[in-house]
Amino acid sequence: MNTSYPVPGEYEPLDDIDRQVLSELAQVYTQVDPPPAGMTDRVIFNLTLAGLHAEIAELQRGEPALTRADQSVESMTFSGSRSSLMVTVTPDVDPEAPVRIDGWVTRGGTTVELVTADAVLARVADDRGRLAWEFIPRGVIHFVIRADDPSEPSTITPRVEL
Amino acid sequence: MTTTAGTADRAAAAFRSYLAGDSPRMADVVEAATPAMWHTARAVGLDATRAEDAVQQAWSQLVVHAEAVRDPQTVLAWLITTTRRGAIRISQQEARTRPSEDPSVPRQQTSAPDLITPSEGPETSVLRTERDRALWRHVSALDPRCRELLRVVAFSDKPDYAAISARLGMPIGSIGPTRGRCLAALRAALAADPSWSA
Repeated sequence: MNTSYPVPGEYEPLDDIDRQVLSELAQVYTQVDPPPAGMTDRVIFNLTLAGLHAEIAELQRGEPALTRADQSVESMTFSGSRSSLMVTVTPDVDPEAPVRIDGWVTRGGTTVELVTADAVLARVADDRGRLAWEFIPRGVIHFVIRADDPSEPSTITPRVEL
Repeated sequence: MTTTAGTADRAAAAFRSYLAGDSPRMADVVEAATPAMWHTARAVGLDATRAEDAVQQAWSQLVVHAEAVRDPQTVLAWLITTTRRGAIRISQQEARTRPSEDPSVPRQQTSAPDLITPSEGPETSVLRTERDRALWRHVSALDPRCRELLRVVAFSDKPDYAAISARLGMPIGSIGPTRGRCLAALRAALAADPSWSA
């Protein structure tokens, strides 16, 4: 503030009219420039992920590889500092049909959750780190790799679209 | 001073529960504080997408550095300050990437650059009453820093007026919450306007 002269009333205590003015000002700003729809939900969603104190794994997408004549298998690798997960997605012949997902995690016995829009499907890797999910509907999914020690952070993968 | 639980109190109560281990209460902190944070970022002059980014960043910082809020009662003021700092940083990054910028002109570090005037951008045709339009006219005529201060304060708790204005670098009085220059100027303009009779 570089204005040197005082504004009348500037040192008066806040009164009811001041509170009324501020309250009406909030209403006016709410009318002309409200927060975007869904912003609060988006904040809560992001905080829920962060609240797991999880590490976000990096995604390296493999090239789609043709295995059989009409089935392309896509592989993805998620690398975290504690563990990595590689998954291959095997689609059905029907592009709309559910898919099969095979996974390999760096340590046998690790719990990995596949999170879809409406379910959390946990699998425990066998002693060679293998996991499998069948009949996964298409849509956006991500994985949570649980640490063996509950006090250690989990690893969350970015969301990918099947 | 009002005794009803305002935004700051609601945010503070939920934040205390969160710190005590009741993690879902963070959603209540978000519900209480996000509108004030949105208006803080917009008051700095960010567009809607960047303003939401600034709000998201402030929340991430709170979760990672919850201990940085030394007094849980001040969590709303902390969030507003953090949002504002982040918004100014985003705004300066944008200014730097503009090719036409003259590097010989020093950048202002403490005040918000490129403040939008309330008469541009926001949809003023939604204001239905003459009283609202008069209030909008007079707040638009204030200097940018006063507009920013009043916009932020209007969405926080009334007793926070002194604390927030001090944090925005505009202390309004050493003892107790006084009206301050910005609110006093707005009051004077409204008092002289027959279409706004308080």
